[in-house]
Amino acid sequence: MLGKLIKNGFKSNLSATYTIYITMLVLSVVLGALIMFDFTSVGTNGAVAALVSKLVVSVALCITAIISVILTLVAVFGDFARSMYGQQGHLTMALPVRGSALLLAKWLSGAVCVIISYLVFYLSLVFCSFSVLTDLSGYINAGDAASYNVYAIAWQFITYAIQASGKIIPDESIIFTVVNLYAFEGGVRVCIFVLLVFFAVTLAHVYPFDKLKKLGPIVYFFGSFAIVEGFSRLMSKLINVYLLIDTRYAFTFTIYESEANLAWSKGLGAFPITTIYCTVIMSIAVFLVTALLIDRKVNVD
Amino acid sequence: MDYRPEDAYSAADRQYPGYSANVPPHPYAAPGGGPMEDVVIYTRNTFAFKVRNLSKAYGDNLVLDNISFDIPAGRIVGLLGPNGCGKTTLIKILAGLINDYSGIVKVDGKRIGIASKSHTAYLPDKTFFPDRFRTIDCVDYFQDFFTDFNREKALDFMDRFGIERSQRVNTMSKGMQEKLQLLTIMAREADIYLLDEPLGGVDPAARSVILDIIMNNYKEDATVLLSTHLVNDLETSFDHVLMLGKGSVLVNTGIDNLRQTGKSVEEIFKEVIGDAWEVD
Repeated sequence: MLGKLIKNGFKSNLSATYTIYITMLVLSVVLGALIMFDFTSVGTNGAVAALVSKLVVSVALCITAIISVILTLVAVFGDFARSMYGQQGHLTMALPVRGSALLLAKWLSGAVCVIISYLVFYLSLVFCSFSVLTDLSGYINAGDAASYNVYAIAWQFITYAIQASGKIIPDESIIFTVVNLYAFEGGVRVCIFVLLVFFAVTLAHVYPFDKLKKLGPIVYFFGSFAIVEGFSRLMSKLINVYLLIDTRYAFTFTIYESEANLAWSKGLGAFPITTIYCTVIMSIAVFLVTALLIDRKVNVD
Repeated sequence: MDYRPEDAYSAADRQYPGYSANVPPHPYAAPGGGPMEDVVIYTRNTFAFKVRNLSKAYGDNLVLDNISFDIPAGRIVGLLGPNGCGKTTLIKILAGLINDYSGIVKVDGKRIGIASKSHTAYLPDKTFFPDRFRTIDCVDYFQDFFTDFNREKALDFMDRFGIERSQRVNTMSKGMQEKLQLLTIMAREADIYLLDEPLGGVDPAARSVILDIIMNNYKEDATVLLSTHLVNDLETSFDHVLMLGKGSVLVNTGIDNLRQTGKSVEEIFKEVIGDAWEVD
């Protein structure tokens, strides 16, 4: 039953957003073609046309990427409010499933859609920046393999800057691991963000919290967000746990900031995990409370 | 399973406090405000609904005031009452859409939850299918979630009523959407049907069609609880009548008991409701 709920969750979220993703795909293909096409063969005017076209398509792609994130958020949260507590709630809430199953399905499908929208957004930015960087670096004929070195050149500048400050650049594998951990933390943050909105919308349909009407979800979201953030910060101050990473991928934990700083200065990696585990703990708590509200307290309009 | 007093409710519970202080007992109701039938003659599972001391308020507005009643299974029950008397609230509680109430509510012997919902087909007085759905998606959705859903029956209904399978819900008229909802609900072989104003907002010509769908397609031995204002159109269909007014149960009895008075249900309705119209 949970699988069917998740399938329906994805279908309803994607039905509201697929057109913007198709638009982005078309723009990406056009931009890719412009990057690859050798405009120098059509003279100076051709080169200028290439620059202008690439710029226009890049800007359009960036704007569409921003819209896609906003649209996905609106679709996910709108669908939750409508399908749980609006008119569609008469269908959803009469299903023979627990509130926790309904919530989990909405949460999984919603969070995955939002994460995908963020990924697509960042990929679009990278793609657009590649287009601009190839122009700035003078490789008008971007089909030239050398033009793909622009990121390598940019990375060289960054490494020089770090080394100039007296620090050691960690091994690539460590950087890769830390970047992945930050990406994971970002994903966890998106999940709790989506869940907090679901909690706020749910609370706004429970007496006496429904008195704030449409303002309710906004007030309860910021209130619960402040509590979650406050808890994370407090825990970080009380006991901040770092994950130390060395080149052999041997992970160890420490609660001492000095050890974490020392790791970086030795060319190893360190990653604070307090935020992640605090967020996970709070997510579980918020999920259970929200599921309980759905089963025991909520009134469908 | 036979009825066992220790499993059911206390003697005090069986006093059926169906009348509030400001609504005097009506002669058509059973002594104490309960059903005319004696509880003890039914086995436990023959009750479609058992409600004890149910109260529900929206803020300061007390909609259901400590009501208690039993409805035997296998009947077509007319839920009657003026606007605002709590008919929709009662149906939503029985369907599991309102959880914030006090009292004990059992549907088919089960507390409101997954077990009761899996045997209950609920038709609200609102359109509930998402706009993006095609009509065939509505059928697929019901098939996904309700094991008692008869897909062939639903498709047959759609063909009979000229509903295109690829048509989107948001391109259908409100009347067609209501018809689609009714078809999918009645294609379930549920033990309990909760129908909230199925004839509300429907033109007289369509009423007989809808009534025909309901009366000819519910599962044998199932209980149909049907709320309506249109007492005259439906009174010949009812086996049992539950009248609410001012948050209380005014009448809860079999139709035969009412007919013994020589009056129509509509006449009794108007007589009983009386002051309860003030709720409007």
